[in-house]
Amino acid sequence: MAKPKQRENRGPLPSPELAFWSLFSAGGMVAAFLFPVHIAILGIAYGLGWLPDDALSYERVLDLVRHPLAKLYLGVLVSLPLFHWAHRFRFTIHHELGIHGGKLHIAAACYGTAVVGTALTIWVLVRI
Amino acid sequence: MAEERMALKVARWRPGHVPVPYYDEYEVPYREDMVVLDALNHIKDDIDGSLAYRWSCRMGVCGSCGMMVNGEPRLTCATFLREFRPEPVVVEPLQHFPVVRDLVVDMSDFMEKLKEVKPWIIREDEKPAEEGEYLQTPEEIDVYKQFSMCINCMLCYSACPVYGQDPDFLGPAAIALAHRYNLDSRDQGRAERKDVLEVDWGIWDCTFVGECTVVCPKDVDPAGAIQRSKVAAATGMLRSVVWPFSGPKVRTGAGRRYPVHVPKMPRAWWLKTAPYRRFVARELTSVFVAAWSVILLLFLFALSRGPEAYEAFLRWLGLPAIIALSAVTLGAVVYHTGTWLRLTAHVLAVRFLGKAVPGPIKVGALVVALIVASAVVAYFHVWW
Repeated sequence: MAKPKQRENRGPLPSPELAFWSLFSAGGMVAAFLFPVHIAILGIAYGLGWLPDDALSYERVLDLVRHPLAKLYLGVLVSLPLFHWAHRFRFTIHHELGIHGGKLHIAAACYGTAVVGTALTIWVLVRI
Repeated sequence: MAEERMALKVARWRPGHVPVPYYDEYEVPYREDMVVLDALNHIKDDIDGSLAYRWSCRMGVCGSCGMMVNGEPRLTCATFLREFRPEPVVVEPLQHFPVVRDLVVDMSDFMEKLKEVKPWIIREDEKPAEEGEYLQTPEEIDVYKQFSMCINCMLCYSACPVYGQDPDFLGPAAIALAHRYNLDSRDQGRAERKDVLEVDWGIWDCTFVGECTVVCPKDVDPAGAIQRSKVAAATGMLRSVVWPFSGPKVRTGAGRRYPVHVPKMPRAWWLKTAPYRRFVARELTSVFVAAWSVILLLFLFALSRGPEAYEAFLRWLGLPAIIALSAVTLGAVVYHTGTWLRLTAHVLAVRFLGKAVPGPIKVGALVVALIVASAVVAYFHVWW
């Protein structure tokens, strides 16, 4: 049996929390699936000399990063996890530290940091 | 053989008598099949008739005998004394609720919230009774049945630190019940419930601690219901952006209309129990996630400034201290990945051939996806 049509209830905009949570979720997904391998390669394997000699050479990496798809990927990879952090950090301040005042300021500081990080990422990727 | 006995420490609070809660210690005869409620009944009948507590069915159906047993919210009719022997059992009123007397708490806050989510079937227009009932297939019942098993025992509210911190929070049971009706094929009230669900003090206040689901005696899974409501809100929004001509519109802005109690939580509540500690560890992995975003940003910045800056950055990455920090970061991020995959599997309600896909299979599929994604990234990053 098909689900009957929902009652219409038109009104103003949805809660901004919906956008924050969506960005948080997307960032958590990106970090969960893609960060371990990036940290393993860049943070550990490179330093310990486990990579092939020219794997991180300037020319090769520049060539790779200049591809439009690579730029899109890197933009998502760097920016979304910042929103993941912003969301969790904001609720940590409220629930774990028990700070309930200044909710608007705390939210602005957390998501604002992520927005600045995203802007910087786009700026760097455009310049490369 | 001498009769075995068991000690109980019971929290007492009587308005007007003693200014603060205190504890009375009792000794009751012990049998292996005794539950905490049996011990309380023995105290009430034979030792101290002034002890106040709620109970009714003694079989986990009425939901009235929930109390803190050794610091955990439990149904006392389903909690055996033998679980704690030989240590004494500490019985306290459910936390996060105002106490009326001894072990009796005031749950009127929940009763108000329950009304708000309209936990009944809402129809646009009722068809006349002569036209018969609204039929459902077994599959349609299966979709919401789990969320309909709630007995309003309040264990989930007592386990929820968000409710303890923020009494405005709509809370696990109320949201699970709203979700139950939203999932019902006979119901048309999703848009009406949005006003109380998709708001700051509704689903968005939940941080998925997950303890509500752990303590639930009826396997209702309120945590899953709340996260699925979030996913439904997000996909509904996405759908209305892509195709704005149909579907319910979100309406927000209504405020709470009744007073709530003042919570008394210890400052470091998140250190109190192992599940809370794991939860905070999970939340703090996000700091390492953000740190690695910054490292990646610096990497790209160095790359954009030319070969010298890039080489200098690579030398910095090769410092032993930085490698050690990267290893710590990797550990934290892998912890994030583990918890995230588990939670994602919990939230995704995947059905295959009319049956819900079991959790371990969902986790397995996500792990395969993780391995494939990592292999693809490694290939492009290192060998391509």
